[in-house]
Amino acid sequence: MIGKLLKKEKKLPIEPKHYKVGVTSGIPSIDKATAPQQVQMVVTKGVKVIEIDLEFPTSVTPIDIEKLRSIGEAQKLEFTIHGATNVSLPTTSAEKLEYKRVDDDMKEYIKVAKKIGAKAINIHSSYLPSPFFYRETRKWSYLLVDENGNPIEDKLLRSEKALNWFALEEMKRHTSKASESLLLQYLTKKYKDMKKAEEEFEKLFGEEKEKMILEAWKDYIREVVKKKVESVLSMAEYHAYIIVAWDMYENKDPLWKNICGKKDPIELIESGEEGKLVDAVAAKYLEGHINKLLKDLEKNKITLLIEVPDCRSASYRGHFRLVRPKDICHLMKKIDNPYVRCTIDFEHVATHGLDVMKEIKALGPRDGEYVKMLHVGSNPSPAHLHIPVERGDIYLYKLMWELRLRGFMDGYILYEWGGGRREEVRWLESVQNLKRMAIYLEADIPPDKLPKEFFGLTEGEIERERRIIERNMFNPLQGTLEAPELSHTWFGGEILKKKKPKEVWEREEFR
Amino acid sequence: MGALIERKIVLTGVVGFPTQIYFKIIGLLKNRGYTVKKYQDWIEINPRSNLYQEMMRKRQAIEQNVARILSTISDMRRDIELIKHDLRKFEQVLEHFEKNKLDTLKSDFVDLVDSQTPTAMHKLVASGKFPTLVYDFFKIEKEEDIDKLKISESEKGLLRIKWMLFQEWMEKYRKAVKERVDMLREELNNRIASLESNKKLVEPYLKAIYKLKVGESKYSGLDDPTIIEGYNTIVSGVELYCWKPVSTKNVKKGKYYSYLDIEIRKKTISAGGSEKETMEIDIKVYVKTKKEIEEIEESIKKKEELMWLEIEQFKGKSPEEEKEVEEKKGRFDKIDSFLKKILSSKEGEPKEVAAAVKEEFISLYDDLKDIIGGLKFKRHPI
Repeated sequence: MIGKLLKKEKKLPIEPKHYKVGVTSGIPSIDKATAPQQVQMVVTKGVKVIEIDLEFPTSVTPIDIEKLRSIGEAQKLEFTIHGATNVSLPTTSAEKLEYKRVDDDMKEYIKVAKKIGAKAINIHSSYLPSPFFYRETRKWSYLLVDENGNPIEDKLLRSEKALNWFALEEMKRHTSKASESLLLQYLTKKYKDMKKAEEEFEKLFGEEKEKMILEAWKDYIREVVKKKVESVLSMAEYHAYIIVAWDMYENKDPLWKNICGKKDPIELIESGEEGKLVDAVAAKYLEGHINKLLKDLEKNKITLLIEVPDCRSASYRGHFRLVRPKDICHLMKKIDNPYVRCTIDFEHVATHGLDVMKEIKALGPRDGEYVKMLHVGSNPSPAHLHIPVERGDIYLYKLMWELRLRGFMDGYILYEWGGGRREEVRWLESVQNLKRMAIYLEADIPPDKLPKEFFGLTEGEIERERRIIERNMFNPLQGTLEAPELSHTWFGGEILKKKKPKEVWEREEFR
Repeated sequence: MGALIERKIVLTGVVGFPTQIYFKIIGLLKNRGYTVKKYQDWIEINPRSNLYQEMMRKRQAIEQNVARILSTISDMRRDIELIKHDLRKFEQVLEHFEKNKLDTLKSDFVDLVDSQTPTAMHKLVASGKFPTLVYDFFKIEKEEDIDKLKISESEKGLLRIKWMLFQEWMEKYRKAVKERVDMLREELNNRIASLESNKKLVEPYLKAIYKLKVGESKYSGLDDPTIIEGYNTIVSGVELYCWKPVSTKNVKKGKYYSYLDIEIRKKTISAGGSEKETMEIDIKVYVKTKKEIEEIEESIKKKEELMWLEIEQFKGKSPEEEKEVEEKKGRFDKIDSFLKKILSSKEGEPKEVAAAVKEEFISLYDDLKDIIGGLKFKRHPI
């Protein structure tokens, strides 16, 4: 039986053809090393693909870049870059300064990738929790932008529904006296006569009055925006998100449709589904950034990979932006560019308290085609451990098998270790186990048909074990016999006669 | 039941005379057509006599020779086992080459040869510096395979070096193993031949030891008051079984036999500066069938075989045979009791056969008297 299985394994290639198994270099600051030093350390891990972990585009100096390029050329390696490995790139932020930093850093990463010769840049889809967590953290409105980096007020004025919602929000936030004062001001402006305005004001009551107050707020907001009066509008990122959400809803954006369905933003919030709104708008911001990079990516043939983010804090679990692989795939489909693909990190999915298998099975029938990279380890858990890949990890194989069924036929499979673990226990058998899994996947062997070797030893390993056993088979009897020990040999005896130590002839036994 | 006739003859004379008579009796029996077989013989020596001491010295000298040769045989046997063990191992390695068992050879190389180098592959794996190195090494079947591996050039470089060293080692190893196999085979043949030669060498000594067994006295001759301790007194004995076919008018020759059980004991007394010999001859006459004679012959043959078996035991026996040797003593006893049973049994033989046997014995007895000459035997009534 073993022989048959071994023969079967013999027929398989020694390396996977389409999947590229690799490792990550580790975060430089954790190991207190430069990026080239980190890369040099992982050059000998049995792979051809190395993902260079960079915390910032500026993490590599020109000398570092030169060294990395040399290493890549000399070792004939394929590099990818993991940008902002320390989770510092606010890709879905609506705040102006952060938004600009994302644009700038992304452009820089492309430049660095080009110089190093990296073929892909991987970044997390987000590192922020839902803006609903920060609704009271207010900023001046001019510090908030839409998905394209334009002032959020512009989008606010373009969307009647958004303006209506925002005016209502403002109305609720201010006292009735303030609103009435604003109404009188609005009527004065309308009738250009103070007395007439006061008469009309007195006539108003009930719903009619409420309606006019709302109009007065809307007019006020328009005026403030048009006049660029900086100190008047006060917003949180939460407002920016809902304004963009209204815009998406009104314009029937596919991202909205695919992630949120038919409900409008307020209906979603009221039904407790604001998470979907956040995911859709976060995807929209990411789309805005990516669209600006497409030309550069195409020109340099660099693939941008958007990775499922890890949950930065247990308190954010369930309230993080754009974490589900399915939603990220919606963004990929929307952008629809071969140089933009996604990375699934099973460990990261688990950190959000999600059922990893369920999330993978929730992907559309062809969503796997948009997956270009996997970050893997064994036993994904909310603890974010990145455990080395264990032999016979059927769960991991099943996850990859489900992705393959959905079109993940090639791409990178990387063991990501993050950093910190001692070298002798950092890699263990991860690479060889992943390569075997990749070979079995390419051979289209379903999880329930995997040979016993998948869980046990290879042919070579079995032979090695056999030889060691043969050499030590009489050890249990050692020292219990009066007759010459069974491991004693004639040659050994001759050496003993010459009074050489026992260890010497034991070593020389096979020479 | 019992013997047909029993006779006892006692002769005393100068040393040598009774012995001459003994040989003449054997000649007479043969001339009269008897088959004569010696069943056993023995010698008893006064343990306080000089002769006893001399006999014991002879025995010890033989024992020492036997011990020396047996020790050599034991050493050779141990060497042969060790050589066989080595040979088996080397032949096994040679088979790995012949059957191109590359994984097996790689195992030996990785665990026993390369492991001694500063850049041992398994150490590099254990340290986490090259975690896939051994795994990749086992993937390689030919040098070109290294290029197919999706690993860095550093690893490929290291694998190329290890592969080259592996090839070099295999070449030298194969040659060395082959030479050793040839040498060990020669050595083994040589040891086996020497062992056989030594086994043959020890046989006469073992036979002598067998003959010189020290045992309890069967004969009470030494209690004879005429035998004085301290003198070189020897009591020896022999038991002969003799038979010849008889025929009558109505019974064909070959169906019945005249069978004689002859026990002879000889005392040599040395006293007062002169020596004398006394010989006692006990003769029992039986009628035996052909089948009984065949059984007696078989028993005598088995007794002979048992002696050889004991000798073989000294020389070294295979485990299967050892069991047989262990049973030896019991078998001796069985043979003795079997023979006694045969001798004591008496079928209802025809009276005319018994008469013929008696007549034959009377005739033999008369011839015996002639041999002794001058001495008068008492004629017993038939």
